[in-house]
Amino acid sequence: MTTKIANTVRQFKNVPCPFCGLCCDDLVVERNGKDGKKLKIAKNGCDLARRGFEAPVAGAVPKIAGKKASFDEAVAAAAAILKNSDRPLFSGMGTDIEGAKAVLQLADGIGGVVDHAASHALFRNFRVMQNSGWMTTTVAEIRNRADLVIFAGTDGVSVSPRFFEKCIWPKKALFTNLQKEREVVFLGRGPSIPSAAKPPRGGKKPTLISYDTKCLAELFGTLRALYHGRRLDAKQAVGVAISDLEKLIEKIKAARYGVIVWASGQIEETFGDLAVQAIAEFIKDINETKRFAGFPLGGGDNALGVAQTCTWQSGFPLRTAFGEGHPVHDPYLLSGRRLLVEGEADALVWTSAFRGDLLPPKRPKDTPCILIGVPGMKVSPGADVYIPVATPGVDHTGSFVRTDSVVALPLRKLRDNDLPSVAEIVGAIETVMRGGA
Amino acid sequence: MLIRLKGGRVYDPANKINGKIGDIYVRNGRVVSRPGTEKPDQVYDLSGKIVMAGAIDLHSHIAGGKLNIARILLPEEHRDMVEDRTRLKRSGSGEPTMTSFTTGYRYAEMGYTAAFEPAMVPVNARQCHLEMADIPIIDKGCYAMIGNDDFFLRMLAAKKDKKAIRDYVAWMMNATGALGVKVVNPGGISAFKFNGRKLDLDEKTPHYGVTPREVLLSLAGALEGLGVPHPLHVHGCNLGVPGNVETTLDTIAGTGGLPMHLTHIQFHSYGAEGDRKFSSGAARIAEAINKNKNITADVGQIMFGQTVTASGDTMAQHAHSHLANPKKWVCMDIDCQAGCGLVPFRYRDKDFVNALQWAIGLETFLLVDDPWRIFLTTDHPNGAPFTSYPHLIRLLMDRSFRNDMLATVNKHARVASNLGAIKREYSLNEIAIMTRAAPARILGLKDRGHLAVGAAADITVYSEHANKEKMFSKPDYVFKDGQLVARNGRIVDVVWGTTHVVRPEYDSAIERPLKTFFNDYQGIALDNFVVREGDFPEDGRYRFKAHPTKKRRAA
Repeated sequence: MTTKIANTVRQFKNVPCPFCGLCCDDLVVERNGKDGKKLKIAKNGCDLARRGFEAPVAGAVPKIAGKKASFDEAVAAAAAILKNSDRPLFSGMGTDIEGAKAVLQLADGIGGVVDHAASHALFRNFRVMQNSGWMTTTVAEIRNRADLVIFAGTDGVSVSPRFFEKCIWPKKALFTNLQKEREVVFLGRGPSIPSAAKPPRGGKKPTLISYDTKCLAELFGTLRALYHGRRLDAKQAVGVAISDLEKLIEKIKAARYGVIVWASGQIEETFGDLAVQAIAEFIKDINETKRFAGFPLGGGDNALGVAQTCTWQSGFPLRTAFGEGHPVHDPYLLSGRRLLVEGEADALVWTSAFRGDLLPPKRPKDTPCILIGVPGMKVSPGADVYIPVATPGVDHTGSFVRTDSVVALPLRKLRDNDLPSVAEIVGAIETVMRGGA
Repeated sequence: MLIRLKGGRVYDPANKINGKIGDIYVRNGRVVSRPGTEKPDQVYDLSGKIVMAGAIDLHSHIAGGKLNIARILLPEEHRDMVEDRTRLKRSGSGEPTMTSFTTGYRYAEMGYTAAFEPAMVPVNARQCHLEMADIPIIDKGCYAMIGNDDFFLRMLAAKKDKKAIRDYVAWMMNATGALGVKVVNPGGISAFKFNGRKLDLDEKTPHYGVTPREVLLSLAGALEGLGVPHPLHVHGCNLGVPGNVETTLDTIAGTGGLPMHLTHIQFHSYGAEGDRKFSSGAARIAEAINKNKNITADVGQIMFGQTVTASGDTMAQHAHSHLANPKKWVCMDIDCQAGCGLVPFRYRDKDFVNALQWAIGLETFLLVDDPWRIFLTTDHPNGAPFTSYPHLIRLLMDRSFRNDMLATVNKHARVASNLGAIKREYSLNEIAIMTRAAPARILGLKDRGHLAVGAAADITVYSEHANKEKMFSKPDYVFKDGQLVARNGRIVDVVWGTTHVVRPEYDSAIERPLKTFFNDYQGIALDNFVVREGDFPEDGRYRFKAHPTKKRRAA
């Protein structure tokens, strides 16, 4: 896996990239020997990957109330805040599975609430599973099997820049002729990075259907009615001519294995779960006679890995409170953001081990914040304790779950960095709280 | 530390000990021979008690992605059943889709010291191990799902030789950390992705043109050739379909003597007779098992109440999704390898079909003669949660209780079943065989499931009770690797068990086509697919033990 190039540069191949939910694992990353810390992407990757792997290692000093402190002092200060808290919120949760396990153990032990920075998006999907279920598919199935891919309210590339390269337009596919058969339809806007979504030479050009992007649920309600042969009096719906939707229905009926991709974080209507449900129920209907599947795109900051871990440990996918001595879940009331806004959490532990721009949300002034963040992270005013953290997949090994919730990838250690991992920091806080050294 | 378990009545069928009163000595987690003059550090007076090895569940869905989907699908189950954290224990919730820590506690409290996840999707293996690391106390292991994966089906369609298939199977077991191999609806999950809705044993799959029978024989032969102790673990064709008894009998008849384990056979033992076109095929299945010594089976008993069916068999699960209760379900196609389907079920005793399913399972238990070849499972959570095992044991050991229960179920099912006429009652020795000695033997766990000198000190001690459900619910003592972990059905200590694997040898030439396939189609690097022990933290929760295979035979 590693090759030595010259004396000063080490090269790592097949590096999994934890900087979006797609977790591409074909990156070639080089490490500069001078300080043994500088990384550069030599092959593959994208802007998100570059920003992640090539982020400078600077400003890695723990702080208490903005003043430099030792690691032990910062840990002790964090433990003191948590000791005084009746209902601490653990969120952000940009961490590997091992870090999530450590946080869950602490939260279970002291009665905290656990959520993830992306839970607003996640719960638009989980609410649908909790209410009615769905039929979905995974990356390799789309890549090899799909002949029609409909992007519903997302362009794919603004979530995962290499989605088309990895999933839609690979070099080869097992069951579909990529040139003659695979077709892409964008509902909403075209790709924000057109080059990243470009079909191969000879491939079909994508179709774009613009609609009133605040009405995704209604769009799919209309499509469902048309699919079942209902006649609509209207000439248009949500800003689209019915005749255009009928053409789309023809494509859907002609497809062997169609896929609808959505990114719940990009759905613009307030009750985004209803839009996801409209898509999911449409897909179930189609499957009465033929094959179709959904694909939820998202999963940045290991949102799915953290949600999976919380689910197998507590029974619930985040928004879970341990204050009553056992897991209590509420998909609305226990939203971390809501708890902070309403002042229902009396301390915040915010973790971001993948990127510096995942900042803690607004909160009342008297809610103390313990920030476990990557070096160089802008310590927002009021972060009472800041503990710099290593990045999984860069500074240490770890595990990450891809956006389809199935494939867990091993994150590699590419350099030596003195910084502790999330698991180590949280473990240290727990030890102090238990009265240990 | 030397422990003496003194004067209990020992049931250790692997060593032909059937209710003999005797002592067992334990040191450093192992059963040791009677020491000379050395005084034991601890003595447990077990006079009047029953002593058995720790029980082993060879088929229980305890980890992996599909179980998590089921948990998310059923927040109401987890809201209604919660487990408080204590000084020793982590909190948890749920029963059919119980959370990881609770799973370990519940098994241990019942005297079980090992449980095996039977449906690990290879691309999900890493997550499965991460999750199993959060199941305390008991030993674990998984069977990798092969037989619907495109790499394998391509090999089969291209008529690759036996050696190549063996190398692939062996490679996959190594790569995923598996103890066995399971095939689910052979070829059928793949067929469903091509919109196939039904696939009979000799029907050709779409695209590949291979038959389920070819898949079964190829995989069963590969495992036998590799010397993997556990035979192919088979979830056959046509699960849940009335009349599928014919398919199952045909499967048994067509094994050509190769060892096969037919799992949750209750779901595959349905006739299509009678007014309702649903009848019991248990007698015919039991007769076939009795006759074919190469066949073993676990039952997959159903119990009345709420549960969820979790299966890799998307074809069957989608077909049954209209029965979902509550009305929500999930199906998923998985990454050129498999699928999964989650359909909640509420089995009702007053429902004809459910009541007959219940009777069919019990008939199967009682009509198969050899307890070494029939295993006690509910296919947790598909038939019922594993917490119903004590009740199930009572049904098997106590005919009058069984008939009392039978009297309460759907009248027509009662008439359609032969259960009331069956006189057999299982003995304690037979229960010890089917829940200890036999599963250890069929999984190749040489030092588990028995109590001879050198065995792991996984030991359960019960108080004899006329009510066998009571007796088996709360053992007096449970030792895991010599450590007392439960007392009177309550956890008193938390230890971490072992993950059992086998690592059959393979010719590394197989990695070349695999690398190409992963590069071209799978979309992840082979290197990142392989699960290595070194990928996990060294926190004592990822202890793998590789068991020897028999000698690999020439292809």
